[in-house]
Parts: sequence; C-alpha cells; structure tokens
Amino acid sequence: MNKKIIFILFSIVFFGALVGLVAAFTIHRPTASTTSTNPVNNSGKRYSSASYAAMTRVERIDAANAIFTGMVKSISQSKWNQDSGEEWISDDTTPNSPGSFRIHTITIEVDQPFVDQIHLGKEVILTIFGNSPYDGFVDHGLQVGDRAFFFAWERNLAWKEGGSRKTLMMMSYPWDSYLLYQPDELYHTKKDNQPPVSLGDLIKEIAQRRDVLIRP
Amino acid sequence: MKIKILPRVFSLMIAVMLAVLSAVLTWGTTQAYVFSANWSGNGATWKYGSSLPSSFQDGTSFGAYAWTSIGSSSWTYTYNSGSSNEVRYVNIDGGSGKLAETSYWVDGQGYITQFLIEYDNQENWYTGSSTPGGSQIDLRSIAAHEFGHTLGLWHTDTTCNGTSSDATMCPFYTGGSTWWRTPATDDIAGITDYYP
Repeated sequence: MNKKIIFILFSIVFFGALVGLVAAFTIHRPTASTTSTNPVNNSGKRYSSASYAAMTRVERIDAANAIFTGMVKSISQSKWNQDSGEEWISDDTTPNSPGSFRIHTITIEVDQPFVDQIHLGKEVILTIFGNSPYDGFVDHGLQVGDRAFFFAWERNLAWKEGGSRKTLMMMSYPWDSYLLYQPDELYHTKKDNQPPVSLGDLIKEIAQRRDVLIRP
Repeated sequence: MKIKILPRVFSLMIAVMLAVLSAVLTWGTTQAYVFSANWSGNGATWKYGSSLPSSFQDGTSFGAYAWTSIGSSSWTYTYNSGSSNEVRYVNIDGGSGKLAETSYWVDGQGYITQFLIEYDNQENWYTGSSTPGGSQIDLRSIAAHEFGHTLGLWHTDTTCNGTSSDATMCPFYTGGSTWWRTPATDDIAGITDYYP
C-alpha cells in the first residue's frame, strides 16, 4: 500500500482515538459537578455532616445488640433530637448540654434475627444520624424495598428535654452498618471494600463470636 | 510530505495519545471529593464557644489552620471572638459512634453563611500535638475533618481503608491515628477547585 495512504489512514485513526479519549476524559471525570448537588434555592437551609469512629465488621458483630435481615419499609423525613422533632440549636452556656443534631429513621420489616438482645418484633425502627434522603447528602444508600443484613446497637442519644433517649441505631458510619442483598443472592457492602458474602458465611462469621439465633 | 519524516510524526501522535490516556486514567482516582455548597468568598471567621474546654483550643485552631495553609488555595480562616461561627463541646451519643457534628446554613444562592461544630464530650479525646493512644480520638484530626465540612466538603467518594492514605474527608476515624491532620491530595483538589 502506498505510504501516503497509510499516513492518511493512520491520521484518521489518530484523530478518532483522540476525540474518543477526550470524550472519555470528560465523561469519566468525577468532578464536583458530577458528584455533588449545589443546593441552590434552599434558602437558609441547615445541613449536617459528621465524623464517625471506624468499626470493622468483627467489631460490629461483637458490639451489636441486634443483627438481622429485613426489608426497608419506609424512611422518615429529617428531624431533630427533641420531642417535637423540630430544628433547634444547642445551648452553649450550660455544662454538658446536649448537642443539636439531625436524625432520621428507617422502618424495617424483620425477616430473621441472628442476634437479638432487644426483643425484635416484626418491625423495627432504626435511627440514623444525619440528613434523610429527602434532604440529600445522606450517609447511607438505603431505599424503600431494599433487603439487607443489618447491624444495630442501642445508644444513649442526647435529647433537648434533658438526659438521653435509649435509641436503636445503625452502628457508627451508616454505610458500613448494613450489607445490601443483590440479585446475585449475596450481601454487598458499599464502602469498606469487602467482597460480597453469602448469608451462610455471615451466619458462620457471627456464630464464631456470638450466640446465634436460627429460626427453623 | 517527505516519507522520511513519517516515523517522527507517528511517534509524536502516539506520544500525544499516551499522554491523554494517562490523564484519563489518573483523573478519576485523584478527584473524588464531594461538594455540597460553598462560601461566596475565600475566607471566614470562627470562634471558640463558651462550652469548649481551654484544652481543646489549640487542637481546634490546628484544624482550621489545616485548610488555611494550603498553597494552591486562597482560603483563610481567621479567629474572631465576635464571629457567629462556633465550635462547641456537647453531649451527642456516648463514647464511640459519632465523634463530632458540623451544621452549616446555606442561603438561597447556594452559599454557606454560617456554621456550628459540635464535639461529643463523651469521647476519649487526645488534645495534644503528639501521637494519641490506640483508643484515643485525636482532636486535631477531627477538627481538620469538621472544618473541612464547614467549607462545604462532604464525605469523599474516594476509597477509605482506615490507613494513612485516607483523605481527611473520609467519614470514619481510626482510633490513635493522625493522618487526618493533613489534607490529602483529594482534599486539596476540592478546596483548590472551589477556593482557588
């Protein structure tokens, strides 16, 4: 083949590939514009975020008051840690005063408990720190209808009216406090980079450290 | 075109393609920060709340300065006792679990106008500048993380393993560690993007 034709063909391939790479670059780039939503027009709206103590799955297994499978039935709006649930700001003049923080709850239809120190019923309400999905920027990815394997513990949540409220909560960082059931019939974590795991293996893992309830 | 120069042209084209390919592959791994909102300017003031123990002042100031000292960003935090942006020491949920919370208010244009940082007074805090014990919570690390939230940085999408490669804006803190004290590449990319 004529070398000139080869050059022309190569040039076409080169520029085509270059355009493709630039397009891939643009699409692939997870900049703020693709990973965030600037909450424009939410005038005076308060957002909350936090830092959590790291917990491994073994630590969750050891410290959980309840470990169970279930399905998310509903997710609440955001509320605040006072009886009315309305937004408030902490009092900075009283020693050991409660902080003001946003929480929300998810109602879960329990399939099977494996560890149960709190007498789980058919439904359980788990409280989670931070924004509800209705407010955006949430620290978990659960949606209504999701089936998952949950780790929960009872916490003494500071309350505006005084003292604290014993509350069943996701364990530390919410993203890592559940494993989502996927069509491959395995349970997947989102953030801790652990490989997906079967229900049988999870039960074995728990049984090595806790007394496990297995219903027939 | 002389046939003799074709190999050089081909080499140049291949070099350009490799450079673009390299940029594509590295871009996504270094910029996983997430922004929720930002300040309209490039600086803000803050102050210690009256509930904050004096032993927490140095560590808190360190956390603010961690974001002020980044060369590629013009952002500055300035202490001002008359500021409406406060750092407090309150009860949240007992030991472990949640370590601190940051609230920030966003106006109709999407700009942050005010913030409040609250440390959980039930934690086993380490307020020094050296290395905390294995079960202690390093105040300087948590302060740097919470001040990152006050800039509008959300928890990063980058991989967090509980190791020294973790970004300051990773969501969970490993007891006894200090690596959150210094913003990582991903954190710096975030603040530089929004406050160049």
